[in-house]
Amino acid sequence: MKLSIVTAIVACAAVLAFQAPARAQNLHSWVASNGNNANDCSRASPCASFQGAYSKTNAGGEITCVDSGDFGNGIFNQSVTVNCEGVTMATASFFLGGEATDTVILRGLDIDATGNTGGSTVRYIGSGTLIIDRCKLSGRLSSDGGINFTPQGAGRLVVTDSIVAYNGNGSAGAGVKIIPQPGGSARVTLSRVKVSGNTFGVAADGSASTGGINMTVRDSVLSSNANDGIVATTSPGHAAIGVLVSGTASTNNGFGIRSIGPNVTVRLKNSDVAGNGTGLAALSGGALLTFGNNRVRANGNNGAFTGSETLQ
Amino acid sequence: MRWKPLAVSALLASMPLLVAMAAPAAAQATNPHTWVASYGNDTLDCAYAVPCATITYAFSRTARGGEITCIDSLDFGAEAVLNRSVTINCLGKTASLRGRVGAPPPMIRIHLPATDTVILRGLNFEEFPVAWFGMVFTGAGTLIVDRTAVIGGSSSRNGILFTPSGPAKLVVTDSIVARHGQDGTGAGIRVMPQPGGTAQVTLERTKVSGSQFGVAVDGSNSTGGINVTIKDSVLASNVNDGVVATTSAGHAPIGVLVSNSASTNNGYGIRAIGSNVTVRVADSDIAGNGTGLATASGGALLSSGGNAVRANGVNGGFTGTEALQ
Repeated sequence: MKLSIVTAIVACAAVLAFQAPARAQNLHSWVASNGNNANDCSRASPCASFQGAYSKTNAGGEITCVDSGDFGNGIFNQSVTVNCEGVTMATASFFLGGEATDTVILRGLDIDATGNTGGSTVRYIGSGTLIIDRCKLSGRLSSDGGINFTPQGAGRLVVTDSIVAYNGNGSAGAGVKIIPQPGGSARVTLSRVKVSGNTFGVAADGSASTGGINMTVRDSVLSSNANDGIVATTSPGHAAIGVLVSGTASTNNGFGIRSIGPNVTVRLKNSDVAGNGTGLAALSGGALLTFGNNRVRANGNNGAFTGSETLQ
Repeated sequence: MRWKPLAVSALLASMPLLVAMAAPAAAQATNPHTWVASYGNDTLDCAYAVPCATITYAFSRTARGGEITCIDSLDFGAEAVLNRSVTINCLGKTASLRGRVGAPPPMIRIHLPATDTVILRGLNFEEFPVAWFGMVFTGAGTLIVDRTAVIGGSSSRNGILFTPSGPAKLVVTDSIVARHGQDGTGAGIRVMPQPGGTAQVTLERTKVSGSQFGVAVDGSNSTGGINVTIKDSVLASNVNDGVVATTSAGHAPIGVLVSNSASTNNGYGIRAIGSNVTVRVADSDIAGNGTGLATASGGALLSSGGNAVRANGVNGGFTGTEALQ
């Protein structure tokens, strides 16, 4: 299913308008391959789709999977947890929002987008928190890619213990794309995330906002992406970006790490940058700082840091 | 935002009654290994061929030191009281414990003698407005939590509330604790020994995110001391502190070691409050917080080196250094 912004927002509004009176029955809903959305989504009589289950789940509630199956897409705009650890599912997209106090949690989702060339597998447009844990997102061959974090307020993203691979259309699209919208800002933590085989690995783009991006990439691997392992870019007058890369490898990409723009600062600590076409690159005034304990070797062009920082 | 103590006394007051209620069931507990399933029935003996349905019933049929496992994914109740050694292991299944409307907190209480150990592995706690706590530990002994999710609802309080009244140990590994607390109170993991209690805590490869407080260590109800090590873990996007340790004059000293961990995008990265509090930080990342490092009332915050403290609203500073050996 192709999810454009407009159609998804319209669909979201329609779904909410339709569901509002009927919400808030279950603390916990189940979906199953043999489920039916006419059921009450209990363990004994599970529903068929994530959206069907969501419509019967309290704010802050949880949807879990009985078994592997095709549970469709999810359009959620308040706190909910989808937890399907241990099963796999057919292609799915999640279009997510929420207020500052809402937290959406996706856990254990094993999603292959099967070469879908539109939209992204997980898109966030809200002002709250999105937590992604133990997920696999692959095969979204679009200009957005796997995770497309586009908050319209003070958004927070935490991705842990996940793999994001084979996303993007060859010229655009990333495993993880951070691009706050007007009025939005992004605070991002990635830990133990494997981002491989995408058009871009992790891309932070401040050009659509003035609100700022702060991202920490830790204990992670950015490997064999066509363009950058990590790229941070903004334009004059737009969002400042600070990126801390710690205990991480950016290897065998087109660029290991690139910092582009006058308000961009990327700091590297105890990390490995090897096997890339270009290891390190700083353009248009971008800062690329070392804490002094990185390995930058065996790249076509190793490149260089623009300055240093002191460990404390 | 100010650290607000929670009223634990009311919770503790209800413990003896619940423990007393659970005790008689132990007399029937002879099975070293019991099973639960979505199609189980609590009139059965919890063998694999005739599994039970709920954690409470299965526990009543399980010998001290035995194990309860899950045949398939299920809701297996809550409001259990575990008062002797047991392992509950449902790794690979979705074994959900959840609150229900009208139920008192919490979902699991662990109240042990000092000799006993409870192991919770591969469980999925879901807390909702009606269930304030995921698991509450009182008494003594050891609690081991592995590969477990403790997820709060929109107005839950603490995910893991560790309030021992005797010598006690907590080990949490490879787990996620998220979305706890509201309105400035409540933590993902709260360590707060009661009179007579001490706490030795190890967190490893554990993610504490999206809560009011991440890890909160409070010595003000005890004199027995608290030792916490947080290693290879992530404390991210909590409204208040990633890690806060606080005690009051004359109460429990606290030592916290944060090693190779990240405290990012919180209100405070790490805070040490009180003259008997020492927090040591090694090889860790403190970034994106409103305030990175803060001390108050004589708390010590020492660097063992290798830390990146950058890109916080206010980076703050260590009060001293420690040498690696």
